[in-house]
Amino acid sequence: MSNILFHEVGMRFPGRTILNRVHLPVSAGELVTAVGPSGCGKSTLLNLLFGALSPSFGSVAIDGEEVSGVSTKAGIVYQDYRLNLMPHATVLDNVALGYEGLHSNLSERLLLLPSYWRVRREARERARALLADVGLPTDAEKKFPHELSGGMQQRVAIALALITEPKVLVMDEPCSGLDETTRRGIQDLVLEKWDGGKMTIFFVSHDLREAVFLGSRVIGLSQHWTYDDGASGNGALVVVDIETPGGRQMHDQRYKLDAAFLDSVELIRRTAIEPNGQKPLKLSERVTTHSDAVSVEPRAKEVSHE
Amino acid sequence: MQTSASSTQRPWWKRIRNPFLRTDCVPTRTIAAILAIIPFLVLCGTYIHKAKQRHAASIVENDGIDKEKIMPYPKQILAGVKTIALKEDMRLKQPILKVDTIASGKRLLWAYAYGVGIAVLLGLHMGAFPYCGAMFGPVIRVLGFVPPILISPVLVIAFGIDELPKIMAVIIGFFFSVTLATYNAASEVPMKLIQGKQSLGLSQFEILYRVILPGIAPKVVTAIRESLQMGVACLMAAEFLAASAGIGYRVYLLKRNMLMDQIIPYVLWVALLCFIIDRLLGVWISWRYPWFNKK
Ligand SMILES: Nc1ncnc2c1ncn2[C@@H]1O[C@H](COP(=O)(O)OP(=O)(O)O)[C@@H](O)[C@H]1O
Ligand SMILES: [Mg+2]
Repeated sequence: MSNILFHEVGMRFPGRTILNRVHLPVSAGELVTAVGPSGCGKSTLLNLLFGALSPSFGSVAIDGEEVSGVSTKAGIVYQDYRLNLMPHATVLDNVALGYEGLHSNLSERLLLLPSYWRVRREARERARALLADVGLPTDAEKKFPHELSGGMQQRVAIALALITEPKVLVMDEPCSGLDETTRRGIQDLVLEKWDGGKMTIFFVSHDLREAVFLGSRVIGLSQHWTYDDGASGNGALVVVDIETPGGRQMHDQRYKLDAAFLDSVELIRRTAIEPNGQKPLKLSERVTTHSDAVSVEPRAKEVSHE
Repeated sequence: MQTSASSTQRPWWKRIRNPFLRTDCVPTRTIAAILAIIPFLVLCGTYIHKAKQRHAASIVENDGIDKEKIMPYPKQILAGVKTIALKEDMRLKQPILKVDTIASGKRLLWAYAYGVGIAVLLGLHMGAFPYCGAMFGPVIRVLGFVPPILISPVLVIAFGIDELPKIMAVIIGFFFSVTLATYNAASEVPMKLIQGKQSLGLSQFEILYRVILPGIAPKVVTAIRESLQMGVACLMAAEFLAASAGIGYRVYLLKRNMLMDQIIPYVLWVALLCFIIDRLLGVWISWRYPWFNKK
C-alpha cells in the first residue's frame, strides 16, 4: 500500500492554476525529492501533503487516510528555520513540546495530573537523546534558538519533527538558506535518518544536484508543458518521475550510471529546472521510469475550464 | 598621543568620514551622559533667566515689593518641596506628598490590575481567531480614537466622585492601545509556525497559551510600558475634576492659590516616578525576554 497518495490533485488560487492533476503514489520508505523552478508549486504540493492547504480537486492521503487539516502524521521542516522553532523557548523545551502533545491528552496537561509530569520528564529525556542524535552539542540545549547558527537550528528543527516519530517527514528546501558545508551536514543527517527506508521522506529542493544526491526517487514539477496537439498546458505537472540509484552510490563511484538515467537527469534539468528559452515539453515526452509512476491525462474538465 | 604602534594610524578625527552616522560615530557612556545633561541645564538656565526678569519687573511695578508667583526662584521651589513633604494632610495627618502619591499610585495600580488582563486576552483572541478579530477589531479601533481625556468629565458625571471614575479613566486611557498592540502582535505570528505546532498534536487552546502568548509577551509588555503616558495623563485629568486626594487633585488645589513653588515640585515628581517605572519595565523586558528582537 502506498504511504502517501496524491490522487489527481489540482490546486487553484484565485485566477491561477498552480497544480494540474498531480497523481503521485509514494511507497513507504521512499525518499522522494521534488525539484522544479521556483514558483512552480513545490511548496504548494508540500502544504497539501501535510494539510496546511486543502486541494481544489482530488485528494491527498497519508496511510490511506485522507488528509484534512494539519496532519499529525507528518513531521515538518521549513526552509526558514525561524519558522520551525518558537523563539521564546529553549532548544530543549522546543523539542520536548512535540512529545508532550502526542503522549498526553489535553485534560492531563491542563490539570497538570501526575501522568502529565511523567510524560514531561520522558519528553525531556527523549528530546535530549534526539538532540544528541542529530549532532547538537550538549551545552546547546539550554540556549534559545537565536543563539544557534542556522545549521544548528535546522538540526534542532529536524529533531523536533522526528520526536513524534512521524510516518512521513516533510521538508521544504531545508538546506537552501545554508552555506555549502553546513548543507552537506544536513543532507548527511537526512540520509542517516532515512537509513535506506526507515521512514518516508518528501523533500523539496530547487537544486538538482541535491535532489539526485538524496533521492531514491526524483520527481520534476513543471508548468512549462503543452498538450501533444500544441494547446498550452495549465498548472504544474509531474513531468519527470524516475527511480535513482541515489547519490551516495554516485558519490562512491561504485554505481555504474546507465545512459537512460543520465538522460533523465538531463531531462529534469531541461524541463523542470531551466525551462526558460526551451521549447515546452510535450505531454507524451514525460519521463516516468519509477514503477509506481502513473500518468494522468491532465485535460480534465474542471481544471482546463478556467 | 603618538606611540610607535599607532604611528601608522591616522588620528581619529581623520578616520571619521561620516561624523554623524552611527556607522562612524557612537558616543561613549560618559559623553552620552554629558550630552544628556546639556538640555536639562539649558532648560534650567532659561527658566532662571526668565524668572529673574519677571521678579525684577514685579519689583518695579509694585513699588519695591516682589509679588511674582508664576516663576519662583529655585530656592523658593526648594522651600515648596519642604512644604509639600512636611505639611500634613488635614484628614490623614500625614505629609500631603505621601498621601497624594499613594492615592494616585493605588488608582493606577488598580486600573492596570483590572484592565490589562482583559486587554491582553481580548487582543490575543482577536489576533488568533479571525472571527473574533473581525468582530472586535473595528469597534476597538474607533473607540481608540475617542480622546480619553474628554471622557473623564462624562465618567465623573456618570459615576460620581468615587474611586471608580478615576480608575475607569485610566483604563480607558490604556485599554485600546494595549488591545490593538496585542491584536497586531498575535496576528503577526507566522501561520507556518502555528501549523508546525498543530502537526505536533497541540490543541487550539495550547497554541494560544503556549505558542502565541509567550511569543508576543515582550511586545505586550512594551505596549503596556508605552501606554503608561496616556494612563497617567488620564488619571491626572480625572483627579483634576473630582477627587479628595491624589496628585492631580492637589495640583488643582494649589493652582487656585497660584502656589507655583509647590506645583512645580509636584509636576517634576510625577515625571520622575513615571520615568523610573518606564526604566524598570525596560530593564524587566531585556532581562525576562533575552530572545526578544534577536534575529
Ligand atoms: N496562498 C496563495 N494565494 C495565491 N497564490 C499563491 C498562494 N501560495 C502560493 N501561490 C502561488 O503559487 C505559486 C507556487 O508557489 P510555491 O508552491 O510556493 O512555489 P515553489 O515551487 O517556489 O515552492 C507561486 O507563483 C505563488 O505565487
Ligand atoms: Mg517553495
